[in-house]
Amino acid sequence: MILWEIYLLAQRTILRNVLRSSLTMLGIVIGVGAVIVMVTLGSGTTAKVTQNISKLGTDILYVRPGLGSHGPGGLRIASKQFELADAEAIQNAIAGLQAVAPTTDSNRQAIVGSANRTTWVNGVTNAYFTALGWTLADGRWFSDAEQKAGKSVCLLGQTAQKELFGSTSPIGQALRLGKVSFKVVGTLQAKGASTFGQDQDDVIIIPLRTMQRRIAGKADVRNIVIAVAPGVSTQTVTADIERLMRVRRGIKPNQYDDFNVRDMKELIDTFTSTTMVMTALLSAVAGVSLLVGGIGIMNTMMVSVTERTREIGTRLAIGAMREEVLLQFLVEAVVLATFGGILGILLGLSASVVGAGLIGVPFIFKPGTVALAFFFSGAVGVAFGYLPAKKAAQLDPIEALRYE
Amino acid sequence: MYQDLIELRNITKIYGEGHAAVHALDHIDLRIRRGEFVAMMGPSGSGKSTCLNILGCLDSPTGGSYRFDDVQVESLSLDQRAALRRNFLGFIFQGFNLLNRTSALENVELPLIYRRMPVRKRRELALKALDDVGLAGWAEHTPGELSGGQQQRVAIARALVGHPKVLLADEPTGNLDSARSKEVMEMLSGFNRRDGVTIVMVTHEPDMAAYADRQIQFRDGVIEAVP
Amino acid sequence: MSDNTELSVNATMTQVAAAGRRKRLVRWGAVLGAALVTTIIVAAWSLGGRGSAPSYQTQPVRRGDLAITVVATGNLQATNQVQVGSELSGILVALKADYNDTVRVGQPLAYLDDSKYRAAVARSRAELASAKANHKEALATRQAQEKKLARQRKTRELTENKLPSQEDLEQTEADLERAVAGVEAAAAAIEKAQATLQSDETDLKKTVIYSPINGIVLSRDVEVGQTVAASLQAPVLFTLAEDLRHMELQVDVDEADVGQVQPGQSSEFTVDAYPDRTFQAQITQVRYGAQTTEGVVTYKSVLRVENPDLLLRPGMTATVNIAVLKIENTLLVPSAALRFTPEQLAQKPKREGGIVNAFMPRPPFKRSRKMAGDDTQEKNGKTQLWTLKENQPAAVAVEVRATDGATTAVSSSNSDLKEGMPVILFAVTPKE
Repeated sequence: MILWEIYLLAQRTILRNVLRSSLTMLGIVIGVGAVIVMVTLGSGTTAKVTQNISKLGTDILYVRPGLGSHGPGGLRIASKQFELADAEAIQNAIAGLQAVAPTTDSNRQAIVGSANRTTWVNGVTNAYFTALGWTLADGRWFSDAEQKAGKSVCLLGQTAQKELFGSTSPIGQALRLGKVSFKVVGTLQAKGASTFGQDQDDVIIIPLRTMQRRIAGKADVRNIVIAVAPGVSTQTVTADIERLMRVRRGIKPNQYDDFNVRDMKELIDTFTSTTMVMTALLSAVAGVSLLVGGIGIMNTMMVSVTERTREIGTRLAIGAMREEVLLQFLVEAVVLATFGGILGILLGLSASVVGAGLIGVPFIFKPGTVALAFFFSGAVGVAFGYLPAKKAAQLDPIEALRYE
Repeated sequence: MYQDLIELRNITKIYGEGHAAVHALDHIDLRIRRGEFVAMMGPSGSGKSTCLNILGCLDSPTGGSYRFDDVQVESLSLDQRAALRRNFLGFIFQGFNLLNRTSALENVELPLIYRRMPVRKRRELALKALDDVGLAGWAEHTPGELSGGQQQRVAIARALVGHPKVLLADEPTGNLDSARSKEVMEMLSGFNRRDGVTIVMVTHEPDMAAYADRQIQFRDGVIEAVP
Repeated sequence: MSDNTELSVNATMTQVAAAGRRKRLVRWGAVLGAALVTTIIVAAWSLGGRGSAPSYQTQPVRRGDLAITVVATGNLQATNQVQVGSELSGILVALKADYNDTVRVGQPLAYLDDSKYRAAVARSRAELASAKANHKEALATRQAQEKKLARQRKTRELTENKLPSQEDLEQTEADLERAVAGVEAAAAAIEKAQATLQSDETDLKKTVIYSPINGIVLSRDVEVGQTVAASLQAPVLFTLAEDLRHMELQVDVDEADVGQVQPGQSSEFTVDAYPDRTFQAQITQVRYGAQTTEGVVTYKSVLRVENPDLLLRPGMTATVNIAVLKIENTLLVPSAALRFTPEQLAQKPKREGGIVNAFMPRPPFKRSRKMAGDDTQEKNGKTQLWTLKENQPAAVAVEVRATDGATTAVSSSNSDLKEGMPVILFAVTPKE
C-alpha cells in the first residue's frame, strides 16, 4: 500500500535529521506531556476528594435544623430541633429510602480509669450503621431492646478505643460519660479522616435513647441521616424531604427553610466539577503549548519543503500525483507530531507518577486521555502539516526541477 | 494505433501577457515516430526545453494540439497527466535529480512505487534496470557515493525501469565530462536500438546530437529544419 | 517492455479518470461516514444517561380506615396531690409516716416539740384564773359602793337633804359607776384570758400534724430532730397523693395540632417503663392558656387516666397519640405517591451560573433556592396521582381527604381510582 510506503519514507526523512526533528517535536512533547500531567493529576485529585467524601457515604442526605443560610453571607436562622417523630415521618412518608437514622451528638469527656479524653459522643439508632456503612471490628451491635430501653452500652471508634483503652480489649469494660457508666459492647472498623479533616474514628456511639435521656436530657434529634436506595435520585428525595419538613415545621410559603438537607452526592459533584474545570483550564494552557508545537512543526515542514523542492519536482516529473506529494508531507508532519505525542505521553505519565507521589494523590492511568492526547497530537500534525504539504503539492514541476 | 507516437500541431507557448509576452514556441508542428531517437538542438531560449516540457506533460501549451499515442493530451486532467508520466514517460535531467541519501536501488524503484507495484516485483525490476545500466553492484550506494556518470546511469535506470513509451532527456550529458558523456550516449542509443525505446533528447552539443536518428533545430520558438 | 506496448494510453487515461471519480466518491463517502459515526457516538453519549427507561416502584391502592392522630408528650400526675406543711415552728420529735405509707384523714403524721406550747397553755390558764379573781374583786367593790350610795341617799332623805352634802353624794355615785366599769373590765379580762388559753390550746394541738386526705405518701421531706421554721411560708413536711388509681396526664399539644384536639377524644399512650404496653386515656380539658418554651407554643391538655394496677406512677413521661379523626372505608394511597411527578414533567433544579460559579468556593450546604411556593400538592384540594398503565405513568385526578403522613385518604370524583390500582411511588433509574 502506498500509504505504508509514504509512512516509511516519512519516518526515514525524520530519522535522517534527528536533531531538527527532536527540536521540532519538543513543543508537542511538552504540550502533550503537560496535558497528560494535568489531566492525570487532576483526576487523581478528583478521585481522592471523591473517595474521601464517599467515606461519608455517597447516596447520603444529612438533614439538619437551622443553619439555613440565605444568599451570599446571608443570615443564619436558629430554629427548633427535630424530634424522633420527624425521622419517623420521613421514613413513613418518603419513598425510595434505604435507611433513616436520627442522631444526636455532642462533645463529652469520657473517662476510663485514669485515662480521659474529650471525644465525640453520637447517639444513634441501628439504622445509622447501615446508612453510613460502619462495620464491626469486634463485639456486637446494639440489640433492639438496648435501643428501646436506652441502655448504657456503647461502641467505640478506633481512635477513641486506642486513646481510652490502649491495646487492651475494651469489650465488656466500662467507661464513664459524665455520671453515666457505659458498657462497651463492640468496636468499629476504622473509617479514617473525613474530607474536612475530622477523625471519624474518634467517636463513642451509644443508643439514641440513651443519649437523649441520660446524656443530653432532651428528646431532640440533631441530625437525620438518610441513605437513599440505589437508583433513586437524591434530588427527588431531597425535594420530597424539604417539602415534608416544611409542612411538619409549619413553614409558610414565603418563608425560608429553617433546616437544610445536605446531599453528599451534590457535594462530590461540586468538588468534582471544580477540579474538572481547573483541570480543563490548565489543560487548555498546556494545549497552547501544543499549538505552539504545531506551529513549530509547520515551520520545520515549510523549511523542509523549500529544501526539497528539487525532490518534489523530480517526484512530480516521475509521475507522482499532486495528491501523493501532499500526502507525503502531511504524513511526515503527522508522524513528527505523533512521535512527539508518544514521547509526550511517556514523559507525562512518568512525571504524573512522580507528581502524584509528591502531592499524595492516587496515580490514575486514563487510557481515554492518553488516546485523546495521541489523536490530538496527530490532529495537530494534520492541521499544521497541511499548509506546507499543500505548498509542496502545488509547486510547478518545471520550476522545482530547476531549483537550486 | 497511430504510426506516429507523438504529434504536435500548431503548438504555441506564450509566457507573460501583452507587450511583455514572449513567444517561447510559435506554432510548432512536430511528429515523432515509434522507436525514433530525436535530438532537439538550438541555443538557449530557442524553445527546445519548453517543447520538451510540453512533451513531458510538465507544461501545457498556450495553443495547439498535442496527441500522445491515442490520446489528446490537452483534454487530460492533471491526474491523468501524472498517470501518463508515470506509465508512459521516462525523464533524465542534466542534474540527474536523484534523491539524496537514498540508495540507487530505491531511486530506481521510485516510479514503480507510484505505480503501486508490489515490493518484490518492484525490487526485481529495479535490480534488472540497474544491471542493464551496468551498476549491478552499486544498488545500495547513495548518489553521494557515486560518480556523475554512475549517477546519470542510475537516472537512466530509473527512467527506463517502467518501460516507458518515450524517454525524455534534458541535456543528459550537460554535467558530465566527454568520456562519461560518451558512455551515457552509447547507453541511450543502445536502449534505442536494442529495445526500441523512443528517445527525445535536448542537447546543445552536436557530438551528442549525432547519436540521434534525427536532429531538430530550434531557433526563436520555431523549428528551423526537419531533415 | 511488452506489457506497456499492449496497454493503450487511452485506456489508461480512462482508467485513471474512473479511479479519480471513484476516489472522490470514496472520499465523500468517508466524510459522510465519519460524520455519521460522530453523530451516532455523540448521540449515544448524550442520550446514554437516560437511555434506559426508568422502572417504577408502585404500591396498590387500598380500601380501609384512616385514623389521624396527634402526638404529644407529657407527664403523669396524681389527680389530687397535697403538700402537708406546718404552721408552727419547732423541732420535730416524732414522724409517724414514711414514703409510700397509706394514710387516712386525721391520722397523725408528725409531732413537733410541744413543751413550749404546753407552757403557754398553763400560763394562759393561770392568767384566766387571775382574771376571774379580779372579776370577783370588782364585783365586791361594786356591791360595797352600791350599799354606800343607798345608805347615803337614805340619810339625806332623812335629814331632808342636809346630810350628806350634795357633793358627797355625787362623789359616791361616781365611785359606783367606777366600780361597775371595773366589773365590766374584769369580765372582759376573763374573756381575753379565755381566748388566749384557747389559742394556746389550739397551738398545742397543732404540734401534731394530721393527714388531710386519704392517700399515699409520695415524699417525706423532713427528718426527726429537724427544726421547722414557719415564717412566711409553711414548710412542706409531706407530699400526699390522693388515690393513684385515678391519675391525670398533662400533655403539651403543639399549636399546629391544638385545633383538632377536643375534650372527650380518646387516646393511647406509652411510657418508657412499659414500652410494650399501651394505656388508655381520655381528654378532659384543653386549656386556653398558652405556654411558650424557646419560641414553641403549646397548650396544656389534661387527660384522665385509670390506673387500677398501680403500674403508672406520678412523673412518668408519656407519649400520647390522640385520635383526632377517623375516616372509615376510604381509598388509601401512600403519601409518597402524591409527591411523584414523572421526570419529563418535573423541572430539574438547574445549577445557576456557568463556569465562574463552578470556581466559587461553595459551602457544603445547599442554598435554599426555593421558597415553598412550589409546593404543588394542595393539602385539601385537587391533586394528581400517577398510576402505572401498560408500564407508562398515567395521571389520575384525586381529592385529598386527610393524611396521617404515611398514608393519605383520597377520593376521586368520577371513580377513576379503584382499589388495587398500582400507584407510582418513585422512579428507579438503573445505574450505569
